[in-house]
Amino acid sequence: MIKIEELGFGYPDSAFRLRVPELTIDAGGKVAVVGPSGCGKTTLLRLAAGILTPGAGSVTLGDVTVSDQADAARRRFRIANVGFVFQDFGLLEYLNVLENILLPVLIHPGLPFAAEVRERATTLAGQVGLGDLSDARIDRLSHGERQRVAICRAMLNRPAYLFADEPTGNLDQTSGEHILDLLFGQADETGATLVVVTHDESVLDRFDAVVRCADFVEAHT
Amino acid sequence: MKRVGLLAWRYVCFHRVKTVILVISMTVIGALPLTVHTLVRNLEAGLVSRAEATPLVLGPRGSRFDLTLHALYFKNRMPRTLPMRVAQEITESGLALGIPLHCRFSARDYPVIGTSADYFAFRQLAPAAGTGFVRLGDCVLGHTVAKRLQLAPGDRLMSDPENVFDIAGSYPVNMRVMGILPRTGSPDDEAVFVDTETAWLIEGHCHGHADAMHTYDPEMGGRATNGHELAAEALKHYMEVTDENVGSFHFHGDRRGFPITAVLAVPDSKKSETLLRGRYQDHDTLQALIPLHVVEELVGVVFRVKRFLDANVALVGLAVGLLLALVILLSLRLRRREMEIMFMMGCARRTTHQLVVAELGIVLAISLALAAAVARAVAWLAPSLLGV
Repeated sequence: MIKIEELGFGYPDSAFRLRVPELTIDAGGKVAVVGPSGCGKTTLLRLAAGILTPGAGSVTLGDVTVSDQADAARRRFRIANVGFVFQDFGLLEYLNVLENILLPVLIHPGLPFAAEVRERATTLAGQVGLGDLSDARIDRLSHGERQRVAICRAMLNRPAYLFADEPTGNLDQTSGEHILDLLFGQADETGATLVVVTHDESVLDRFDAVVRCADFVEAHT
Repeated sequence: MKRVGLLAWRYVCFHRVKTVILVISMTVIGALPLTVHTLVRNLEAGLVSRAEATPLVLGPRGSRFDLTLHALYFKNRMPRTLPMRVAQEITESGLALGIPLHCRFSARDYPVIGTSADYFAFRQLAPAAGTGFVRLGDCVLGHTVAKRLQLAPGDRLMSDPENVFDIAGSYPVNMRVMGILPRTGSPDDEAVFVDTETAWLIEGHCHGHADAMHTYDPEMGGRATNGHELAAEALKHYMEVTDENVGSFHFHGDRRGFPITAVLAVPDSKKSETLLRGRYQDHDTLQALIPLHVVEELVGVVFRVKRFLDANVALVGLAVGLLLALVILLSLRLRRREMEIMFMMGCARRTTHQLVVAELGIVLAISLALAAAVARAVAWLAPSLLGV
């Protein structure tokens, strides 16, 4: 479960302010965050994922109030419990497909780098149709293939919370549907709570709930 | 750290061009002082060890550096000579053993050193193959000479013609190789040793009454028919001492007056050395030197030059270092998004710092290894390239 209470957030040197009185997403739920550009969808997603620290209020993931945690503790929590699909994928060009999927364990010495982890990465790549591209360089992949690598990376540690920032952006409707199928499939498989930022109104009926971010904007830039 | 190392390795491999430029820059800046340091140390070690092993050198008055380099390392052709009697008088005085050196000729560009058997005893040299010289026209080769010219005892080695246009001059001598000296790592390795009498034979103070030998040189383009039909320029004239004609070779004049170029004096005590030096202190035509003092002076000059070079390299290194810092800062700026992604995924700041340090460490390690290899290669090649 994700619970946000009396959350207040603003960037330094910016008039933009976000205020979320209360937002609850049930465990295993699938929620879409929608709203016009600049209304703070990505900010809300990062606050919910424990990447950003709110100025006021609290963010609780399961039974952990991440907003009260110190930076190091939140990092440890994120790497173990949160999967994040970035809008620009955030793939490292100098690693191949498999190494990009394995990045969470490569950058965190506390996570095991056992054969089963590598096997899971290979399995994930196979599941999303990248089995033959495991050794491929990132710059050789299509937009959709990169998106799938980013999803596999987010799913590597079987996170309890999966956040995706506009995963269908810049994709045609069929590809977008396919990416959502992947996200829903992975979330169903692990029982993860899925929060997706999207502009695509046509896919909203697939979600359990829709959060309209514009409702939380207290002040615009 | 192993995982960070893997990431760092992937990064430097992926950005090959940047890595190669960084490695070359750092290799050059590392190799320069390392090479100079290695060369100077090798030079110092070689010069000093040889000088320490040679107590006293006598030769014509003039540059003390020239005389020392000539007598110890067979470098520089001495413009003046001294008579053989100087070496003999030193021995006869009972103060020291006088070992004559005659170094005015070459064979296949290696110096021909005319000396006595005492030289080999003094330098503790015994042939590794064959024997010492037995009669006129024999030679013993240094290890390197034998190896490079692929000569063995029983082969022949021709001395280089002194002046091909001097028709009244002496002919080269086709010497008989009697022995090969072991490798010593000293100038003896690159010398051809003969008896002083053979040196005088090359110089023309001795001759035989047999005809000069001649052979056809196909490189000169003459017709290879027999005897007088050959064009004169297609002939090589030389002398060769054989068991049959050795008796006909003879000297004209007093051998004590024949020229040598230096004398190595080996005193039996410190007192004898002092007495001997005193004897030649104000001599009109001769000088006696302690090689170690001269070499230390020479090495001092080399070290002053090295300090100047070091200062230059330090300044260039500073400039390159600043440029490298700029490159790294710009690179970090370009990689800000990559670092941010890692951080958002849960990576510690410390780990991203370790990643950058590991990348620099890899570049630095490769550069240092290359710099050390370059320095070693230069130090290894320097003697043959620079003749030092």
